[in-house]
Amino acid sequence: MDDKELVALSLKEKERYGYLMQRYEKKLLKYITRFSGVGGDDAQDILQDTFLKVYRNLNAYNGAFSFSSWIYRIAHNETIGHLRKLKSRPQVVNSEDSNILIDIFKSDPGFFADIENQHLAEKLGEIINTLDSKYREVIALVYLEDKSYKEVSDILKKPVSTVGTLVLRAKRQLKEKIKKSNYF
Amino acid sequence: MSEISEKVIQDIEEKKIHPRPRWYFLMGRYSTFSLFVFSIVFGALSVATILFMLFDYDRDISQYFGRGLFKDILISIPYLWIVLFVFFILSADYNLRRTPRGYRFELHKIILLNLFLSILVGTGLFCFGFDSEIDDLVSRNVPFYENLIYNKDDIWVFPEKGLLSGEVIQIIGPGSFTLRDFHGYVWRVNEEGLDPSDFRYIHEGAKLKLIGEQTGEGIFDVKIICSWQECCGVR
Repeated sequence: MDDKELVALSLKEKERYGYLMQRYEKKLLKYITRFSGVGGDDAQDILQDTFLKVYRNLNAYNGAFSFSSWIYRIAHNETIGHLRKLKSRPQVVNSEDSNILIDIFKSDPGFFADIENQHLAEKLGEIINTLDSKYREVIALVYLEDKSYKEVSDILKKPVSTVGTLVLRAKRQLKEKIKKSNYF
Repeated sequence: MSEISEKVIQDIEEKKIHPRPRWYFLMGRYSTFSLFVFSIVFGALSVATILFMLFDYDRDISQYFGRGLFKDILISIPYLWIVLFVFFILSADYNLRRTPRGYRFELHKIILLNLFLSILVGTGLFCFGFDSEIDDLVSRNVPFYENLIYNKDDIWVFPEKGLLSGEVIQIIGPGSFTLRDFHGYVWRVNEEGLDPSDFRYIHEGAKLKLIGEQTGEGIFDVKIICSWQECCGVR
């Protein structure tokens, strides 16, 4: 059963909403943790608020769009709202993610070829967390959540071409910051 | 079911949370789209009025006021309508971006699209003659509007400078007629100096522009005449 059918069922019987939540619980919790830097109960609270908001707004879901992008957008906004309350910056990348990113960027010609991976892996998270928030968001969504540009466009409500530009600029800024940090 | 899902279902039941009705969201979507259309329509009306004012301005009478071309151009620019046009374009951009698919368009494309639509419809209105209607409608209904724009009526009721305009009340006989100017004052107009071909303009109820000379209290000798819509100037 696809997401659209589950949405229609959930609107008729609220118990069915449980299946929809189960489908996205792990993915969203990981995303919220990764994006906010908060873990444990705080991340679960954000997720819970996200699910409640999604349920309240189920009729707003437009079947012409991907449900996944829609629910990610709500989770994204809830996380930002939560961080705003805490007055803290999103922490996109933890040390586990650093290795994933290094592997991805290594395949990018001329990007990380000469870097001492071990040192960088320890510091990449810190460096990425100093990037502008608009760049951190796209790095997390494109490289860590493995979302396509179109999906990121739907989540962040930005044109696809803007997402592409943001990714390019994010990589450029990251490269500059790495150079400055003497890990070459 | 996981712990979080159970908690959420429990919350939904305890707090009696229901999904908001579909009409609530549809109303939001339609109102945003309506505001977009409204902005485009008003942007187009602004364009039509801007064109009307630019074309309606009598540049060739500036000599009567001793103004240079540059000053004349500055006076004739319909600033109020340009500001309104920019406002409606920005409003259209804002509302289009809030429609379900609006964010997919790049800002410059949205602005270009809105400009194109407004200019296209506005030029259409201008070409089909609705331009002066808009100006008249706003003049009648918006207080202080006359003070904010260049007023052709004021320019053309300046008898001491040789300019007069108004509505023909009565043809007195060969050689003169009476005219009520746009400030309500009644004039006796002598038409001896006119070219006979210009007599076609003179009939009761006609709105006219006259160039000539004030020769006495309430008396005006006309030398050049044309209808209110035409560019009169010096022939």
